[in-house]
Formats: sequence, C-alpha cells, structure tokens
Amino acid sequence: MDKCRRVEKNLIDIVEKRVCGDRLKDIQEHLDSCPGCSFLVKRFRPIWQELDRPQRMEPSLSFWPGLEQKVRAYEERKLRPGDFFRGLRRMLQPIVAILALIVGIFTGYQVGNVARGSGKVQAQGKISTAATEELFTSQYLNSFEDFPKGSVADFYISHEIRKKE
Amino acid sequence: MDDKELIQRIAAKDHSAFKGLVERYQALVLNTCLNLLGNLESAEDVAQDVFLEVYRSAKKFRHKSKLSTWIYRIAVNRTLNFIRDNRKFRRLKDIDPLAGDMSTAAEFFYRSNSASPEALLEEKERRKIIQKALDSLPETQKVAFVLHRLGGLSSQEIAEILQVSLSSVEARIHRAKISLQKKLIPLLKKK
Repeated sequence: MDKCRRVEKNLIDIVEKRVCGDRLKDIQEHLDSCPGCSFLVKRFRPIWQELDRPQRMEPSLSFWPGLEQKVRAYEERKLRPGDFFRGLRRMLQPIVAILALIVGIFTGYQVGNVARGSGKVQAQGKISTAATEELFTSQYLNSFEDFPKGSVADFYISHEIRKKE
Repeated sequence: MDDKELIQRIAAKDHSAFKGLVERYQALVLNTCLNLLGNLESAEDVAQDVFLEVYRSAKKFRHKSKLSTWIYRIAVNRTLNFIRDNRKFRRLKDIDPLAGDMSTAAEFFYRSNSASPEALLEEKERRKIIQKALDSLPETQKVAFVLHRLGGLSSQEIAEILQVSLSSVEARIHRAKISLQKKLIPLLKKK
C-alpha cells in the first residue's frame, strides 16, 4: 500500500523517466507485481505525453471577415455622436445622484434648523406678545394715516385713536 | 515590415498593416486561447477580440516589451475574462456533456484527418481528461502551465507576459504539475 502511494506520488517522474538508481529498481519491482499501479502508469503515460503534442489550429475561413466586421462596428460606434452622449450620460448619472444626495442632506439640515428655531420662538411667544405688537404698531401703522378723509377706514382709525387717548 | 513599423501603421489606422499583423500572429493567438479554453469556437471569438484590442490600443504600445509579448498578454487577459464571464455557462455545459462537444469533435477531424476513427476517439478522450484536470487548476497555475507546456514558452517569457518574477512562474508550473498529477489519478482510476 505504501509502495502504491509512492508510485502515485512519482507518476510524472516515472513517465518522464526521471527516476534512477535504487528508487527506479524499487518502483519497477513494485510495478511488475502490482497490476493496479502498472495499469495506472500505462494509462497516465499517453495522457501526460499528449501535453507534449499541443493542439495547433489554423483559424477558420470566417476568422478574418468576422474580425473585419468587429473592427468596422467599433469604428462606427466611435464616430456616432449619440454614443458619445450616451457615454457621457452614463458617466454623469452617478455624479448627479451624489449631488442630489448632498443637496437633500443640506436642505434637511436647514429645515431642521428652522423648525428648531420656530420652536424657540413659540416658547418665547407668550412672553413677548406685547413687545411684538408694539414693534408692529410703531413700524407699520404709520401707513394707516394716509387714508382719505371721511372714508370708513379714516373714521375707524380716528375712533380707535380717540378711544386710546 | 518589422513589428515597430507595423504597429505604427496600425496606430495610423492602416487596414493592410492590420491584416498583415493578423496573418503573422493569428495562429499564436488562436492556439493560446484554445489551449486555455479547450473550445475552438470560443477561442476564435476571443482571438478576434484580442486583435480588436490590438487595433484599438496600437497607439498606446510603447515598445517596452516585444510585440509578441504584448499580444500574448492581451490574449491571456481576454481569455481569463471570457472564462470568468462564462463560468455559469461552463457549469451548464458540464451538466450536459453533449453541449459544446460538436466543436471539439470538429477540431479533431480538422486537425488529423489521416488518423483512424479509433485513434481520434482515443485522442479526444485523452483531451477531455486533460481539459477537465486543467480546468480544475487555479487560474494562475493553469496559465503558467499551459503557456509553458502547450505554448512552448520559456519561464522567462512567461514571466514577461504575466509581469511576475521568474521564480513565481517556476513555482506556479511546479505546483500545477503536482496538482495535475493528483487530479488525474482519480479520473484515470474511474475509467
């Protein structure tokens, strides 16, 4: 069994006749007495030698016409402007997607900030209603003085002022 | 016309120069692809793609290596890409032994029409076993072994093609031999 394993391990050397001396004698003796190993070497030899006779093929008659066709298709593709734009679009698609993502994140951040800000304003709202009203009145109510005399708006505003005084 | 002039003219889109290059290197490219793929039809298809790549990249060739080395490199890379892309297809082919066999049969009749049918059948059988064992090798070992043993290239030439060190090529070839020996034994015992 040990000797069988040794034959299996040295098959290439046996077939290529690279075993010599006592080792060769040993193996030869075993091969003469073991039909399994002898059969294995007999089968292995032509297969290994087949590798010394590599396939040498000539291309078929359709090889050059087929290649010419591929070259022509390549040249046409290169000349077509549509392909250039298609290529450009394919290249730009990921860039646009990344930009959209960045814009989305930035917008989300800004919206978040505004919401947080308005929350603060709401909290402060109750305290400063009077102050806001005063500011509004001082800034914008001057324009109410321009109403024509005797109009309904003029009457209402003068009535309100008189009431305050 | 020498290789340098040939490639310069191809870079200038000279079709007759391109045809000259194809005639000069078609057998080399086809047989490299065939030895790696084991299928003539696919090998011709890949070989055409190799020459198309040469046509497209002629301008980029800097003459740092021999033209044949550059073409070999393209052929090896294209074939490996083809194998990777078609791994699924190859698995299906393994399930159905008839698929893809027609081209293999045609290859052998094409190659030696003087041999007897029995001899051809035996040869075909041996080729099948070899191809099966070769296909089971890791990619790097397979390429180095095939270029060396079937392509007849020296380890130095293979190192230049694969752009690896000489010792790395020799190690790959040695490991490939050991693996092949291991893989062939059960295949032969089965038969």
